[in-house]
Amino acid sequence: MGLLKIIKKTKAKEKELRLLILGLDNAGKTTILKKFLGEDTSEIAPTLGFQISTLEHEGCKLNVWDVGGQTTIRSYWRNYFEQTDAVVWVVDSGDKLRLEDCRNELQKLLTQEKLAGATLLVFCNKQDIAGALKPGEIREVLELDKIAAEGRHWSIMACSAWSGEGLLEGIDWVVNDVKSRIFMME
Amino acid sequence: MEYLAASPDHIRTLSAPTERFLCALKDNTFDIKFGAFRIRDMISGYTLIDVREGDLDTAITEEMDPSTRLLKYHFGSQFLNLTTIGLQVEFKIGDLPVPNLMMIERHYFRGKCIKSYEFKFGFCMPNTTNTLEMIYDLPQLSQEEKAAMIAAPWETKSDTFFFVENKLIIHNRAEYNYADL
Repeated sequence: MGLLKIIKKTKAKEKELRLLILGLDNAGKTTILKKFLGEDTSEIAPTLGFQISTLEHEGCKLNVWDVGGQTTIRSYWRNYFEQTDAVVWVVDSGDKLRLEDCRNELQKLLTQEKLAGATLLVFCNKQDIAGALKPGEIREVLELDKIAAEGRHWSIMACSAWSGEGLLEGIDWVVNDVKSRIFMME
Repeated sequence: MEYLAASPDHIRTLSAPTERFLCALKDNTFDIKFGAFRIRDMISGYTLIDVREGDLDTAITEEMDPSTRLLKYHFGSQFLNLTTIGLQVEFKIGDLPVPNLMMIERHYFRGKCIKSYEFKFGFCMPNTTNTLEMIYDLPQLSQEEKAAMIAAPWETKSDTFFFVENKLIIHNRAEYNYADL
């Protein structure tokens, strides 16, 4: 499992890294987390609450929060922003009808003061589905260039929670970026 | 029965398992229900224990003999050779939002705290089902300590405390047996 390798990189003076996975419902947030943690992903029910994974391994600490994306739960998201080091925003690349909804929610999220310093990874999930939009197209629809202009550390990457492709690279990038920011502050 | 008001700071100073419950069942005013749990070996990926919600006897009442509320786990000696495990718990929140949930779990063997674990859940949404998986390295025990634990079934004990705004609302006590299965 790649996870235990990645977590060793978080060793930054006992600092606990906090990752928040958000996105619309059915984007694949839980599947990404479960696949990443080496769990069975054949049956995933909508998350009507949160799923937290905390990792303490060889002196490193990583907390990953996967909070449900249903409309009723979205109003509670703000309760989980505090001390977040990075947001992983998951997009269902095949759900073209809801991309506008996806953009609005993401843009709203990025105006939140408590997330001002957080690294952002936009994960273009479900790349295994025929007709899935590519990261370049999603970047345009979600108006991500606005974010770049604001000076936030961010990236957009393709992945498939179903096959696992791109997951390690994505989380690896997030952890490295957060670490580099912490390092710069010290 | 009278209960002492136990604070997180008090709990953190304990060097031995509790001998009785430090709060009543009715102190769980937020109606937080713990259900399914699972333990897996993160190195091999094998699931060691998988208890589903339907398998649990949740009909506990204040009138019951407190000793029957004690959780007992017979893990066997092989368990002590694991290095990294994932312990997952599932819990449901009642009709009220929970402002600030925190957990402290402490494991002891013969007057020594061998593992202490704390987690701040913070806010919990009303009417939700949530999970926490704690993936961690097991305490490094010497061969002598392992042998002593194997030879002394049910003497390894733990206390799990849940606080809301620093007020104790749930206390679970457990005992472990590492004799061969």
